[in-house]
Amino acid sequence: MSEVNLNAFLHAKNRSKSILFGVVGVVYLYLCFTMGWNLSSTGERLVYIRYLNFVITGFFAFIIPHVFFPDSNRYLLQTFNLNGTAQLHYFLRKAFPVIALLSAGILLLVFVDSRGMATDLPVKALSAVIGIVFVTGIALVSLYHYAEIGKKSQEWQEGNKGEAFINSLKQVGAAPSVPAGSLPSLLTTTLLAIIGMMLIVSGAYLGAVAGSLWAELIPGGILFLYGAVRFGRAAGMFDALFYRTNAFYQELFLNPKAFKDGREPIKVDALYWVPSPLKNATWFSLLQLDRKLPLGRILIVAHLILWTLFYSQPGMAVIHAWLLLMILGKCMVLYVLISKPFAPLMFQYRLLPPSGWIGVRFFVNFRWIPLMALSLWIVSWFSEAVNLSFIGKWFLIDVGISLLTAILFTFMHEYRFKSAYA
Amino acid sequence: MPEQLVAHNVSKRYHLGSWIIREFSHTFMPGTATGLIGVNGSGKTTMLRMLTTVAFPTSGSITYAGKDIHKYPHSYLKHTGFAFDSTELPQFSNTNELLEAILRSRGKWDAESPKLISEMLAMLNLDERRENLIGTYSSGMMQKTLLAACLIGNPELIILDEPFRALDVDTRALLIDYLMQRKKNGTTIIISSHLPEVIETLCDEVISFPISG
Repeated sequence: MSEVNLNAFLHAKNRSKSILFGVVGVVYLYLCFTMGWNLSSTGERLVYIRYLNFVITGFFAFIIPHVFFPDSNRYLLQTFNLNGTAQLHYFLRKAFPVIALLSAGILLLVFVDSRGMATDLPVKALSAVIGIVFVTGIALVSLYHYAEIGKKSQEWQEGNKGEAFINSLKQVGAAPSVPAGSLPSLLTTTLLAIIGMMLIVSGAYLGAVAGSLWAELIPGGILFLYGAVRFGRAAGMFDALFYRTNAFYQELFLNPKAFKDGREPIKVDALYWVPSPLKNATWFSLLQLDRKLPLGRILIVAHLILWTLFYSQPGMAVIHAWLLLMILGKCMVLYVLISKPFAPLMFQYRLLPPSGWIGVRFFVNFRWIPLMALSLWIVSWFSEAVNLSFIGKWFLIDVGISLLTAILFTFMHEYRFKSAYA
Repeated sequence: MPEQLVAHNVSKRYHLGSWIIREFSHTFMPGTATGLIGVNGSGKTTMLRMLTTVAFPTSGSITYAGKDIHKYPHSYLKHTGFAFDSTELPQFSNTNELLEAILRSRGKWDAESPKLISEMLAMLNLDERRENLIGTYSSGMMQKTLLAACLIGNPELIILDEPFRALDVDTRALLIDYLMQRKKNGTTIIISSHLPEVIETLCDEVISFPISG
């Protein structure tokens, strides 16, 4: 018997996730590359690093529970019975590619320079360090606070705290819009976003007051140290923290009753814009997807950033790259819908033939296309760069990418299985 | 040495409202088998999930050798093997590799281990297809792999949720014999099953669900 490697089990490559990460990563790097190429001074690069870190702060503050929990390897983790430190390594290793990708973007933003990479090299190098230390710091702090949130969340979801909160709302005639257990997560998202963004601003202020760029390193350094110390202290008991948080999010995300007072699931009748033969499967896909990922909220933030970009005019190449990133990010979410818990193959075949799933996935993507057109139409009020032809062009790109990704993911799932077993 | 597993006033609910389990207290003694019975949705799997640290009680605690299992899951799971019905296994490995990974991870891999794996799979009637990728297994073979993953390494505590589902009659009989033998050797077994003959043959005591305190 050949020797097996535990990492081969715990960090096994998932083809659809790799493709998602790869495509979004390439577009993100292209975005940073074009921004770097279009910026004319080193000072501007630092300003754009701050902008980018604002977005990254929001990203980490929001996305971690949706991406990291419940962990898909929870059975193996408990069967292999990793100790606290090993679990911590496993958790951080999962996050590492994201931190590395975001840091690579900062390097491109700083060093891709039409005037030459070596121009203002010391200042550029320090700017890159400021950006990367901040990204790593906010990532560590966010990962830590979500990893240990299980106990608090469970007390809100099942215990006296939650009960008292719901009763007090009822007394004033209000209904909670989210499950009580998700309140600590909401609070954590808000605090991380506010504190992270305040630290970016305070870093810029410190740099200006001290008259030295080195001072801007302090807030990111504090975040980094805080995150490292918290993880270091928690390492020995990380197994307990991690299992508890996993258990909470698994129960929250997989328990429909938890959402009884929250978001109403989409109804079949609401899909009047989907052809009848595909309506049932499209409804079923959206129903599941909405419980896993609040894509609408993420897209609203993405559109706010788009408007900010049009307003600040960093160059059309940057805006085009952001539009592409938005469309690809939205469409690549289909990877969730081809994962086994969402799309067991025998069930898929019972519902529709493989060709039908292409249509279903196209309509899952199509849901957000009018929002893009509407958003660009609003932009046209204050930006001369956007006119009907611009909106039409991006509408067609959106439709095209929606269709292509629907075909791609269906080939990766239903067609791949069919060719292997037919 | 096998120790007592003790539930102290354990309650669980998944959201505000009705309780799934209310103030459950019980001592699971070494060398005994306990059957959990009850209709679907009565809380058996929730209880087993709490006993394996997959779920956490809303209130109360569960201790093994006097230590709270939810505060020290790693040291507790060293002694525990468990199998749940709906568990997903890694699709791109075979059973031999999975069992080797489990033994290595638990620090129990030695020169005798390949023989141990072979005997375990023979006991479960998992034939030569054990070398195929798990993703190609039938539901019965998948169940046998789950059971092998639970039982390999001789855990002191065995926790099984509907272990006989999808098993053929021969394997079912072999598994019951194996569990009886393990019980004689001091292993604590906790099992949920809808098969009365299994509960009667194997179990020393039975807990009926739902438990409302």
